[in-house]
Amino acid sequence: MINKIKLLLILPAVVLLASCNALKISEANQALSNHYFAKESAREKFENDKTTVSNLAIIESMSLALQDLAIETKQRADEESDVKNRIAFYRISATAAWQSGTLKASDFSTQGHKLCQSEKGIEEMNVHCGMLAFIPLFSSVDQNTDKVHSLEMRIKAAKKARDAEALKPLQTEAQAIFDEYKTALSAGIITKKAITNYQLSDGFIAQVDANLRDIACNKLSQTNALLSQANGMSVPNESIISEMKEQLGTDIVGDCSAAI
Amino acid sequence: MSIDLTIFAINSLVRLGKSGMDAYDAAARNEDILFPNLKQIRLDFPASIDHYFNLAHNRHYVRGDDAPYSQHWFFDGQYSRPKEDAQSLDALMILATQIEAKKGKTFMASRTGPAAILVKTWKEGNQPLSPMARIALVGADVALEYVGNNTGSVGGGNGAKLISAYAKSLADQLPNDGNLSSKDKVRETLSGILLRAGFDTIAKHPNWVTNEDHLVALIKSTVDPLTEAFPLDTDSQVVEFEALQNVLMGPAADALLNTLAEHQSAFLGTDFAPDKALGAITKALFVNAKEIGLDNQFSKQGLVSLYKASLEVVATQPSLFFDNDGSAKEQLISDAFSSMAGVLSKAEYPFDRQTGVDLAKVSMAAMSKNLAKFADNNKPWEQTSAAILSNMMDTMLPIIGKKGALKNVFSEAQLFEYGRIMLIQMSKSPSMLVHKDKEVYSGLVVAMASAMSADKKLLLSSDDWLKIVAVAAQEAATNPMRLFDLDPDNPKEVLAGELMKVMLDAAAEFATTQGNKSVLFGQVLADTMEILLSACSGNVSAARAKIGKIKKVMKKINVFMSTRHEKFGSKEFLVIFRRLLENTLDNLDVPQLTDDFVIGLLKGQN
Repeated sequence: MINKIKLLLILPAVVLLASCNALKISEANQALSNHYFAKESAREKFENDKTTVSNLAIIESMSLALQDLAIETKQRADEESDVKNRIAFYRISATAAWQSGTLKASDFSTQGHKLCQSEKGIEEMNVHCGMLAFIPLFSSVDQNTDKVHSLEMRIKAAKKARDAEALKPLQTEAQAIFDEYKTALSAGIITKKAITNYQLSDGFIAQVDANLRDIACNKLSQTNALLSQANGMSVPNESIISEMKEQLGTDIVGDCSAAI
Repeated sequence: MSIDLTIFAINSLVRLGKSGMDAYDAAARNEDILFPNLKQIRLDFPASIDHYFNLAHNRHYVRGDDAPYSQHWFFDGQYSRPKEDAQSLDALMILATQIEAKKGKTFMASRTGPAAILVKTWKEGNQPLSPMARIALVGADVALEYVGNNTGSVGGGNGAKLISAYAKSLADQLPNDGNLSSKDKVRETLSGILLRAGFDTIAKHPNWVTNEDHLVALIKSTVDPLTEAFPLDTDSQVVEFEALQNVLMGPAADALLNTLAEHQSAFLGTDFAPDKALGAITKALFVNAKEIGLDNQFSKQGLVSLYKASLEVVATQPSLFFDNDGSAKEQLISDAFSSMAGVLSKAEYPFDRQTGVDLAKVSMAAMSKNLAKFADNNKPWEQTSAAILSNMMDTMLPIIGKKGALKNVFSEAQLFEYGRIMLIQMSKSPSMLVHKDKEVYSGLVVAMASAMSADKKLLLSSDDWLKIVAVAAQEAATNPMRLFDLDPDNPKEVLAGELMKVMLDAAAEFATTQGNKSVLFGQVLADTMEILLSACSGNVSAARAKIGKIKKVMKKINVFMSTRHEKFGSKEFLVIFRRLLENTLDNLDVPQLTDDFVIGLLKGQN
């Protein structure tokens, strides 16, 4: 297993050391994709077979590789003189930080986001800037999601023990996660409105919508179900959706028929 | 697409240097970018039931008067959740499972599908780069890197040929609208890596002579089989291939072009088609890496080393890999590589490192040089070569492996030398090989392994064993059907091995009886083995019949020498042993040893 980890740690180096010169955008892009897909592949394998612990080691090593990439590309962005290249490097850096799961993504996106708002003549950077606008938000959503599994296990344990007192703080926690998702959804819709002047590709807009729909249709509903487990009651999802529509004045989520 | 214009564009960009490469950066910024999905929640039971039946498209099962499962659900217009009794939860669980099963899905299974998408960065109406621009930008990027790291320019000589060949090899492959498929992108990347390796090769071999047409053919015959051999229809297939490409293609391209540069006469001016042969090896490298998996201990370094070794075998023994009409035997090349890769990927310590690869190289080269001796078409040489190596490793493992008595005796270099001697000898003497079921047994390997396993007191050093194996190999070469003859029904016993065991047993007895006064160890023991093998190979039937007597002779010498250390040393021992061994093999009686008799022996009188 150690060798597997070593090999996987070497992979990024192979990509990045393809040239002796400074890291290039294309190389950083490729490294980001490689680390990300390797991590996702191992995560999916681990979810289907939790006995193969080597997949955990790959997840861990890829997280480290993404962490390194985030730091290296941020440094590269800080040193770059061309503003368009800087923004592209900050976008790669922020995405890597988000996906590493260990870094605070906003620390890596803020400078790039500021550049996007201040610099003139960066129209062609719109998708990079769009990503920089959304990454802190989506990263915080993922951090919120990380809390769910542990909470569910504790709720199950408290219910099994018929411990009403132990359930109370868990209800509060479930409500907090639910509220976080609601806040994130509101923030996402506001952010989307804020970048309407960007000329974004259809694929980018579709992916933003898909992620926002995921929050509204899946995550809110799932946390609502968790809330129900914690306090014995849950509000129908249609009520939540209509409340969100009312608050946000938009209907980005439809009827959630695509939700799982 | 105009090739001349593309090459002109590359050269112009190179001349412009950094400012020219702003276009390259722009192209890189316009590549598709990764946009991950959010992490998914995977609820456990029973929260998953709650969520599932609250979804809009599932509510009708549990809510409303006509809902078939309403008795298991609580809904008062404000709150909506499953009833908490076990019967209700079980019924709803079964229902959800059935609903999902009808869709071919599994309820509560982890969500599958792409974890991210690649989004386009260019706006509507903005077209991607034209093929010419792509080729020019990548070509110029690589060339500029070369210029940055080396003095001189790429305007003339091999550099210009490389750029031109790179552009030509891609020109008719990429679609004119610039919308590259996954296969096109892989082709573009692989060609770029070959171009980079080409410049590295020029740096190492400034006198490398090549021609443009040859380079075009080489790039195509290396890249095309790879893009055809691997499916690249889905993101995961592309990512899987890219992982192989990132690890293997750089070192492989370096090895490929360096081999060409180092063996110019083999590849230039010949009437065979080396490009296809080299392409077949490269494809075999990738196919085997995929099968073995890059996380295997052997994979990366081992496969690339084996690849280099295979290239050299093709370069030095081209006649093996080509038919009379000059066409490459691609299947044979692939099989040779795969057989060896299969053996090495399963190799255990100490063969699971460079020593194993080096021995594989020796085995392939030695076998191919002695091909005429392996006339049996039913036993293809390329597979026999791998089988011999496999058998040698397997037979030696109990002795020099992690639990072997001699595990600390051999250095890697000595182990390689030991294996090399045996492999070369075996390749020269196919009559020493016996196929028993699927294994190839070799008399030399069996004899040496048998003897080494008897050296429990470590009386011989690695150098001693190297000397013995050299003598044994020499005897095996001279008289292959005698001392090292294998019985097909009992391929694990060989006379030479039995004789050497007798000597090691005797040496152990000497050590017990005489302690540190014994002369029978190290160099003297190795010399004794040499005398034994030489004498017995001249009279094999006597040796077979007299093993028991040889043992008795050794006992007599032991008894005699145990009280006469000051009078008789190692030099005298070797003479006494030689004379008594000859007498024994000649069917002469060996009397009880006395001082007078032994002195007579030493004087040549007895």
